[in-house]
Amino acid sequence: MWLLFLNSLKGIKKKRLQMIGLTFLILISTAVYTTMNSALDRMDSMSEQYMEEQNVEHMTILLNETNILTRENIADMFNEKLSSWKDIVLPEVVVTDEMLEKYDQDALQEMRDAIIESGVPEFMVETILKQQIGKILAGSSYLLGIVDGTYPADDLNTYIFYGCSSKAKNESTNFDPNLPYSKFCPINPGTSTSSETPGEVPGDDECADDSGTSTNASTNIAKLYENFSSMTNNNSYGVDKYEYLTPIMEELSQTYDFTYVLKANKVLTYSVDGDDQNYAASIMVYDANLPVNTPYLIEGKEPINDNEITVALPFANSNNIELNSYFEVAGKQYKVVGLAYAPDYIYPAVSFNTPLYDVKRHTVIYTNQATYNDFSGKEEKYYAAKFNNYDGSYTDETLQDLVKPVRKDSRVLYVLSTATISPRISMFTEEVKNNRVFTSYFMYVLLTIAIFIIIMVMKKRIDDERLQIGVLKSLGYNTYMIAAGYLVYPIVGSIIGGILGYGLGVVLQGPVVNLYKSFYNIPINDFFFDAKYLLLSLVIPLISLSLLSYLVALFMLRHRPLKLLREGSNLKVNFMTKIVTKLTSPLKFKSRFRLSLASRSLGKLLVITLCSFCTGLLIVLTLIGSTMMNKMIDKTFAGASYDYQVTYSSIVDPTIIDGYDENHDNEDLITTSDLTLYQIIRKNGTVEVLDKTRSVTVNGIDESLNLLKITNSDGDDISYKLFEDNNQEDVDNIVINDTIRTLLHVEIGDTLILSKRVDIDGNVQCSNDKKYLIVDINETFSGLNSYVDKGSITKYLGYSDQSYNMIYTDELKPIYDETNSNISSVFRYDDLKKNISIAIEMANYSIYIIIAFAGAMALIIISVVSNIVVDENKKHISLMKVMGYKEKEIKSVVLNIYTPFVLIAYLLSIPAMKGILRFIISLVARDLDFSVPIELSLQGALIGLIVIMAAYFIALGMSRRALNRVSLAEALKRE
Amino acid sequence: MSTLIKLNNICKYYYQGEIVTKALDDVNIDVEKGEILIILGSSGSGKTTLLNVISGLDVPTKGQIIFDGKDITHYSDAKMTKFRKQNVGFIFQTYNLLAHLNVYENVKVGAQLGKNKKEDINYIIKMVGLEEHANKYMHQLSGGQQQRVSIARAIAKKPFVMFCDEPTGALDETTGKVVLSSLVKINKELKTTMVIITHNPGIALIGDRIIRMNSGKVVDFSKNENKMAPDEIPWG
Repeated sequence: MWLLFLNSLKGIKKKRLQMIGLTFLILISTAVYTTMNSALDRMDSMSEQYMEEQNVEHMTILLNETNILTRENIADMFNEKLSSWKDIVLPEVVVTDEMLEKYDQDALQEMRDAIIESGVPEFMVETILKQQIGKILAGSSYLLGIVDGTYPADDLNTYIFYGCSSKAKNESTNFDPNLPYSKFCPINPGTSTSSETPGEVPGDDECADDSGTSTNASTNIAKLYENFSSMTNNNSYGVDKYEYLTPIMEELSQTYDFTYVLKANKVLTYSVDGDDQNYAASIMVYDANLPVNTPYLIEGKEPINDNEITVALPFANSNNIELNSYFEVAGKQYKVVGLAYAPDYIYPAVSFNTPLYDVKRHTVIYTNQATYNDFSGKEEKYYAAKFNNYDGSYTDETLQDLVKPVRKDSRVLYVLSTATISPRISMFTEEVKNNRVFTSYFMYVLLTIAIFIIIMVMKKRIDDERLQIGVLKSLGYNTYMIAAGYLVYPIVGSIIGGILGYGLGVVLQGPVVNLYKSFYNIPINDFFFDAKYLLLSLVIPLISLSLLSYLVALFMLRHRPLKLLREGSNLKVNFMTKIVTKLTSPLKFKSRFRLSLASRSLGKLLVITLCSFCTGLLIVLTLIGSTMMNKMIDKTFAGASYDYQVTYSSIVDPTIIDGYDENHDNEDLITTSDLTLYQIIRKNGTVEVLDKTRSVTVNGIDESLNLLKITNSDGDDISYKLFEDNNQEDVDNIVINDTIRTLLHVEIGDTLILSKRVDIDGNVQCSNDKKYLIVDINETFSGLNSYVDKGSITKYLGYSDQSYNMIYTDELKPIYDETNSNISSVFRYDDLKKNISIAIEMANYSIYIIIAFAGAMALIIISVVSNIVVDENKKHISLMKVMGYKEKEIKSVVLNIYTPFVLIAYLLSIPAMKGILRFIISLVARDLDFSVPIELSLQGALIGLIVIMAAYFIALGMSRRALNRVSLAEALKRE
Repeated sequence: MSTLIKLNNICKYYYQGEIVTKALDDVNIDVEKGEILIILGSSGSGKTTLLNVISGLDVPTKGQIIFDGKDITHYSDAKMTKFRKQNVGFIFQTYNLLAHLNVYENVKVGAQLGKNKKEDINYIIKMVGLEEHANKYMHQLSGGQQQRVSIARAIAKKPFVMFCDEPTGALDETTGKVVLSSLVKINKELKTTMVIITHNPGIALIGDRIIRMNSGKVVDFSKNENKMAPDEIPWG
């Protein structure tokens, strides 16, 4: 058996090109495998330890303030500022005996007993009782008036509403006139919503039985919610709500066994001389003793003194900042005394305006408390928590099990967990995980291609040596022994390719790590030799390729010796060739000959066609991806000629604000609200109830817009359509975006039925329906976004026409300062555009690399196949030379046989990839509410075609040498 | 001499639709141990088919093959392979040697089947007169030399019987006689039974018995009264 192997080994020289191609494929697969895994190991091996040592949070918690703050809390927070509640005169309610009969009789009796106990004579009891009930009813009537909009949802009424509807401690009563709310709140204990122990909040999103009767009720309650949140954040009240929230966190930490901190950071955007793009920083107080998210000092010292700061290492490197030098932030000089990472900002996305990390312009800054206080910038506070007795990984599924009960606790509004998705932390861990999966699959793909090459080479050799094989079988060699001789190809290829690939991988892991280092703020281990990758680089290809090759060889060698020994047994014509011969009989000789040659070997034809198809798929995928990103960005920003989007935390109604004199010339005032879409009336009248309701953002706009342009796919302005008469009563017009159209398969002429739904302590209150007729589609792709006539939405929600809660502007006025409590956020579109453009540019480079790679793969495979074709047809080539054909003519009939197949395969790959992408996007978009344009421009298609055909003809060019070497004497040799 | 191989009523038919080609038709022969048996016939006479059937390379349509007392007619492929490994050697008109191995290695390919030692291989190479060429590769040898290598390879595992299908078909007279001499020498020294197919009546004279074939039938099967040494035979 060894001799047969030796014979094959010595014969490799004749299969040089094929062996080079094979070895190269294995080399690339193992190089990429080693590179990525070594790099990821360096990052990964430190990350868990780093996150553990720096006590990185397991979750960010936002508390359900409306469920937590008691009446006493609210009184403490607002009573002084809103003491005029006492001056409110309630309308008198005269209580009759009939009214008493409808009241809760047990509660009435309790009240009677209390009155008697207070010493009131018996004959006065009923009178006093009726007075008390009258007061209660008067108070309740006032509350109802707040809810239905009779009384405005201003700060005072918000205070009263929350004073009555918030959780009450058991010991508080409502009849002490010195306590707030006593004259407003209903007394019935059965209606108290306090709970001893937190439990699950009902998740039912069906409308409550008693909802839907009043549009105003639910919208007014929503306004009250918004206003309460604004009040608790409003500096003018001097309120520190965390004084009241922290005890609840303390209870939660005892219940669920975690440690927590109240994290505060300021997000500051500032400009730097010489750079047209803004910088952004997340500023925090350095506290080495923080039990959660402890800062990590890389170099230098802590910023103890005023005006001392630390910055992140990549930022320092990009801006050439040295230790103890000065750096200007927002016009002030600070001394950089250290380099530090915030462990919960591994991927430091520091602001909404700049969602993609820019190494040069984004950083976390640590400083001392005094300097922190001096910094401007919008402050955010939240609780960061870490479980005490959890030893698992940060991305382990078991962490989810710990987080779930916290999330369901009625005192908790929102939990962002590393176990699910916390971009600053889990983006890194997800990237590591995904990259490992990618490199493994990449290796398998390349090895699969390698198998095809081995099969082709083996088949050629077995065909060439069939007589020798026949003799060996005659002599008594069995198929297994003979097949082993052909393992030389996978063995040699795997050993050489594996070792070289590993070496290359070790070299390349350094630059890859540096790339990651610049991107992720996390300490990274030095390179360490791991024999595992050397072993796997050898073992995986060796075993997989050898095993598969052996099985294929056994199949190819299955024939009996006599069959192999018969002359011309290799010249059998397959059925495909017979069919092709018949079909191509009307064609010219050259075409017939080419097609006949191509169809002679179905295996090679299949390999070439599949290779071209797969290369085409890869190229088309990358080109569509590039188009997709560029188009999404173009379309998203096409209608936005404004520089800033200012969002308010609550509705601004100029008609009810005393002394309102803001000038909004050349700005666009928008009223935006999320409504629930639950039904569609199709053009043909069919009513469709959605099995899953969708939250649609409805943006109410004015007829004349200054900065916003709403366009369709042709680029035409379509906003005017919102104000046209559709001749339907109680139906207004709506322009939806592409995501709504794609997800819900709606079109122009369909009618959407929406409602406003507000979840109050698990009871979903629904307003009346609002119908909108789709009049056009706006080509944007993020979220379920739509535009309507502003008047239609403000009226529906119970606001005045002039109300707004969002502004598009070119000028960042002082009133738009993010530190204003009424302002929720300020989106700097310019920063966002530039930030995304940089990311797109980098992505485009990677696209070129992928295309080049796909082309190289195609080149290798086609070269190998063409070389085999020349080898197989030596006799024909020689005969044609003997007959007098020129080399050019011979080349055109022997080498160019696969041209139509390559072309057709590539052309087929375009609709195939589009179909695959559409299917994938439809699955993904269903849950994530987004759609993407899947298009390939003519230019893109041509680029792909050029790449494929270039690879094809280069490969043929390389095989031409082999063709030229075929001698005339070849024709004289016996088969 | 005792009988090594016996064929009883062997028929080999090929069917193409309704057309039946009788490549062998009721053949009854025997091969004695240690003899040189010649099968003589023109092209299409059925001699190659007969060789294929006797040697186990092909299965007869009807009849029985007894080899050294065992009926091997219906052996499975695996069993037949083992049978050939242990008992049979082959030489064909085209040499079918392994191009990337030298003489010694090619012979060893055959020897390994019999688990022979190095000394045995060298002896066999000497027997076919190629001891000076042991390290040469096939492209360095003439046709006759290559054929002798294939003989050495076949005999290296010491089979009981050698089947030779037109061993001199591609060779000139001088070279052909050298090859035949090697075969005769092997037969004499190793007592290996030889079954040789040829269309050349001159070559038939080296045999102990001659079977004449025509249209799939044995027309004559008799002792060779004019046995000659290979260098004495008339060629052609």
